[in-house]
Amino acid sequence: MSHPATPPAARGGAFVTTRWSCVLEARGASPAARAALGELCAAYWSPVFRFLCCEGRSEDIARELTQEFFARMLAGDSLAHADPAQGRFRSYLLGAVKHFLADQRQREGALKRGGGTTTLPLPGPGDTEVTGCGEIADVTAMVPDSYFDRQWAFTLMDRALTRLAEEMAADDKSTQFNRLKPWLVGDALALSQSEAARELRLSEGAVKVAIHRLRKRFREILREEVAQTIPAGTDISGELRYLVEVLATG
Amino acid sequence: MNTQLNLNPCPQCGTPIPGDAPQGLCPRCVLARAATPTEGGSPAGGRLVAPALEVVAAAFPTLEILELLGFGGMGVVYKARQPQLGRLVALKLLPQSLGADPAFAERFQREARCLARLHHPNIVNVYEFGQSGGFCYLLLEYVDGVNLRQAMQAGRFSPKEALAIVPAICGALQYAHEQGVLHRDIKPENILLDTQGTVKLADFGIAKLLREPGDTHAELTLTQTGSRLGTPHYMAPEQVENPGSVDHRADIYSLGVVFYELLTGELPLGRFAAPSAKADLDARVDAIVFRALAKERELRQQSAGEVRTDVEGLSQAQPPGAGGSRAVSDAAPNPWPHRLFWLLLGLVVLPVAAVIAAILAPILMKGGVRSFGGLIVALVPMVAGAALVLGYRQSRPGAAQAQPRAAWNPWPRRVFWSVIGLVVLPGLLIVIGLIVPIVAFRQHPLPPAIDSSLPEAADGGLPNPLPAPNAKLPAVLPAGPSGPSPSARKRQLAGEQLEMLRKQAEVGLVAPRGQEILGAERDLAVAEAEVRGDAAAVAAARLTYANSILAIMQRLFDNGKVSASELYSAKTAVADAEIASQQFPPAGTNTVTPLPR
Ligand SMILES: [Zn+2]
Repeated sequence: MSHPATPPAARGGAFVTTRWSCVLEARGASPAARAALGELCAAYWSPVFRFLCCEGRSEDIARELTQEFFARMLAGDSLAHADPAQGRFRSYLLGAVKHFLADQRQREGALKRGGGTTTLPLPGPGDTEVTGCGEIADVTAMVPDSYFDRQWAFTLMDRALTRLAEEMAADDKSTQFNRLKPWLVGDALALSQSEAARELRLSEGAVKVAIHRLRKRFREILREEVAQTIPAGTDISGELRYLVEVLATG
Repeated sequence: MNTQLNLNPCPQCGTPIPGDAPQGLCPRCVLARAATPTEGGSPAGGRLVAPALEVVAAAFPTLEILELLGFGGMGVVYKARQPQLGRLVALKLLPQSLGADPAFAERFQREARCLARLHHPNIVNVYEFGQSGGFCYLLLEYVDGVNLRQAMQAGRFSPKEALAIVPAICGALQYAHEQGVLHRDIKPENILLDTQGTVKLADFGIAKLLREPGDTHAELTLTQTGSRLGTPHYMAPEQVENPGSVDHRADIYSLGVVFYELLTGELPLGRFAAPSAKADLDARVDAIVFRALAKERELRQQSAGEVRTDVEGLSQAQPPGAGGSRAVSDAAPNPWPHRLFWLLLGLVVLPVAAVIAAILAPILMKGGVRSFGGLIVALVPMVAGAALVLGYRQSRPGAAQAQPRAAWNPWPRRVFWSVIGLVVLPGLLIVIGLIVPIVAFRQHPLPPAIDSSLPEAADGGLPNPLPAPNAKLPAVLPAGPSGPSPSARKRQLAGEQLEMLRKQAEVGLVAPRGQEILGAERDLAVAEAEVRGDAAAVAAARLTYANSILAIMQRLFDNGKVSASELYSAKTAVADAEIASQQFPPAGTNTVTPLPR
């Protein structure tokens, strides 16, 4: 998984075109937009795969399906009618997966009946729910949307943590990262900072400083990652709050 | 399959952490924390807009403006570099509209000059100040760290950390107060902690600069910019009611609030609980905090130095349960060896003390100085025991680390007390036990006739407290009186000695009818007889004394306190005295025997 250098948007306050807004603006047509979409799909491969797994398929079949889904998405022109002002990549991806599944079912059914196959176009990003197809709704009702969103949140968190770990490693601070990352969870009163200080050969004050910086940087990276998946100008905090709610209720 | 649950509950929220949680961290807590907006990084109320880096860079061409650090202390702070000096600095800009006000600019110059004179390891240095590009600015020491608010968010302070930080703040405050500078806005945001753990007080006097009574313009500007004018929770009551009257004791109140918050994680609002009820603390901390938080400033500590002394005093006598500061704990040796040390000492010292007592007791008990002997027998082990307890407690694990960042090392102090307890005190007791009887005997020397037969006493060495039974009384007294004046002097001395011994007997230093008093009575009777030239009376007095001693010895022998040979000596002495007195007609006896009792 590649992690292209992200401009320090949060720090400089400068406006940065995010990947998803790049995709939306070009309606997925420009080479840059295709590249950006490719990166996004690579990044959020896992929620789709897990969603497909959860429907009761074996991992191998789910993997194959996922491959096929992304291949079709990247080849198609489903974004031609995308509205740049609305829609998040998360919602778009979920809608596309559901549509893909419905289509898949239809094709399987058609094959059984011996008929020809027609491929439904993937929905545009503004279509958060796939309407007018009761069959599709039935299929996806087995796995709630929140399951996909939960997996999405996990992936988002994993990406941010991995980037943070890489940054720390570049600063020769892998040990520090591994020792202090539990404090990303919270104050974790049971954990002894003095013990961590001893192990890292730091003063307790220095550990507090390090924890503060780790959290600050994690927050920055996480917001940058979220920003990549939402249209420019959308409230990053709002998307984060939604994911926190999904996790809390799940 | 994806929802397989890890049995580990999240330490924060208690729910099980999903098995596929990234890095094993609870996703709901990690994201919830990261989604919570932080304070400190954004202006209060969001109305203060930081000038863009390019604008600042244009206003300060000699600086490399690196990044926006945040909002605080009534202004915007940037991280910058001075290329010539190759050092990082913090550039604080006050709201631009203030710089446009000539009255404010003048006051700024005046106040900043005072601040720039403060040089203390726990105060953020002011390198430079002035006006540039329309900004009033302060060029400050760059502190690579966090403020106490951020540090508290990174994790609650342990009592020992809190107790280590407060003295450093006190030191900085005491210094500034001595220079006539009040802080006026002490709060966690203004207390910085660098990566070395050093505490630095920031924004001295800025509050006053921006809150000069009567300056509505500055107030208005700050209100408009959304800067928090006061931090009421940290302000002393008099600071809210009558800002013009504040003195350094307002800073002490604010320090008390910070101290309370460091210890408990809460503000002392309303009827607040004692810190020791909220944290594992020495209850004496409560008194210090409550005193600093007194509504009446007369009741507070009267100087920051006093707070410091109070806090440092805690860890010296009876340390709180948790350990101490990093400064000392780094240097402090592992307490375990000390425990062993004290244990060994106990095993060695107690028996030695007992042996000393056992050797000394019979020697001293033999004489009439039973009380001293008994005292030593009782006290030597007692003192040794007390010293051991003291030493053991001071070397408890954790006790050594409980010292705040004080300059002194606790070790010499412990050694000092151990030496006092183990060596000096028992030694002193032994010496006293030996000297008092010597002095007592010197004050009533035996009559010369007997002295000559008692070489130990004449040497000035340990006098034999039982002179009579051991003394071979001369069968025949020296012929005739040796002249009126020596005999008279001797009688006077004997009288004085008897008088003194009776007084000592009243306070229990000698037995009322013990050997000393009997001996003195004998001496007086003999001296009187000698003055009269009455050899018969002398012999009779000695016989009386010998009989009294025999009675005492008999009782002591019955109680197993003296040996048979000692009793034999007493009997022999009586026989010798009888022989001596038989040389005189019995009529003389009745002139001597009735002595005043
Ligand atoms: Zn949790």
